[in-house]
Amino acid sequence: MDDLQSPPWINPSETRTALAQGTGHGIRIAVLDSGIDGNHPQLDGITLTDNLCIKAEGGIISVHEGDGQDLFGHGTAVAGILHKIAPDAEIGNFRVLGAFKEARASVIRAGARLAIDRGYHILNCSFGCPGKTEFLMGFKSWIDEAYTRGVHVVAACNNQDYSITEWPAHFPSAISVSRAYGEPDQLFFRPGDLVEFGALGEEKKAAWLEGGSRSVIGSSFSAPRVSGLLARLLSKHPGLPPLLAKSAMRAVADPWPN
Amino acid sequence: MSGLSISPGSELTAASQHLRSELSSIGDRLDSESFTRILPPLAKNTLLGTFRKIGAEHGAIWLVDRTGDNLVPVFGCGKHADEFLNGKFKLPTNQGLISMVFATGQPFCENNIHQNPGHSPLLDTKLGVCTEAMIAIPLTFANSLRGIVSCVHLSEEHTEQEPKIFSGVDLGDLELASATIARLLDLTLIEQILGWQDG
Repeated sequence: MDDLQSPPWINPSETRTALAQGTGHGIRIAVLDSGIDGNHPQLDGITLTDNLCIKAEGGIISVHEGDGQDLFGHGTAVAGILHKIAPDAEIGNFRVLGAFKEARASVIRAGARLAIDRGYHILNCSFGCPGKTEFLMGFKSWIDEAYTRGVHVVAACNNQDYSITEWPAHFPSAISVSRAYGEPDQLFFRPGDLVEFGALGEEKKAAWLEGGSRSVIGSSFSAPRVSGLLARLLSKHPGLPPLLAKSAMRAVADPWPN
Repeated sequence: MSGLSISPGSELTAASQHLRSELSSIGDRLDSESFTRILPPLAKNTLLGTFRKIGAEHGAIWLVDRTGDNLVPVFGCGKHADEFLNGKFKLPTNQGLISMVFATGQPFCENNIHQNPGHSPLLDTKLGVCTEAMIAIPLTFANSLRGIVSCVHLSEEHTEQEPKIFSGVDLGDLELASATIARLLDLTLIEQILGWQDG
């Protein structure tokens, strides 16, 4: 955040305690996705702190208040998982997906910057853009801004091969997540790769459109588990900057499962 | 340092950006007909072999059209394939699971689809079938996300039998197939740009 202090380093014991006892209280998570159905039963009547749609039309990017309804169900599923892991975290709906190809990077950038300006602590990015040079600066600008302003970026990686370069997952300042098999709130760490973290990527009854649910699999659903765990941590240690939070989570994560 | 270390020649390095631009340009101009023409037999065999391995009765490659508003099936297998290929169907990019994968760029596997009111019914209605489970994988070639590889379990009608499902292992197998197809498409296009193919 702008008024970033220099919090003390937290040790592994404090980190484990925070991950076990934190609820996400006081932490705001921006879901950059396909929208959220805030009335879904799995969201327990939470009030979305923002409900926005960012569009690109005719080369002009515009923000539409109160128009963040879910186009596909994907964002609602992500929000449902977040809410399970960090039930007291506040969730903001930033619909940036649904605008394709060239428009997508600029729409995502606009949504991310808006979330940063509105004081969100975590940006959940359950998407990936091909890691091509032409898209690089469109992502680097807001990823760097998030880092310097103390905002945490959690990103899903490419499932085909986590080493395939994708934005935003392949920025070192992001907490990048691939699919793993484990318990719902279990965190895994794989040293030596840009995509360092793993979490369960399967949800038997993920929240979906029209109050329904679906069985889903994908790294898209690993990322919100890590965002939720991060929210637990930050709720106990507010102001922990991205570098320290990432290091603390590295220190307590389980070894990558075979 | 042991082993062969390859350093790109200066002339080729200078040409690589041009080659890359040309690849993107051709990718942007691909339509259903031209895609079908360039899809290598090895890519088709890879995909069909993967469908067989994971037990998928039906599968397809979807390509985004030039407007970006629709995904169009350009290759398919299964007994209903002829009913939705060759311009007989297109899926709006703001509806359904396949479009969602195109939006997020993230692979996706989903079971028990028919129980869910949010599932896009367009193709099911057209074919008179019920989709039980689906895997959808982004297809990124010619420097962009340009399509989706998908497979499904179908039933002809809702039954009380245990629905067929896909697993995470099946998802991984189709991801590998999609990545392989993408590399084969890139290689085919580059060969054509460089004039390495007779046709």
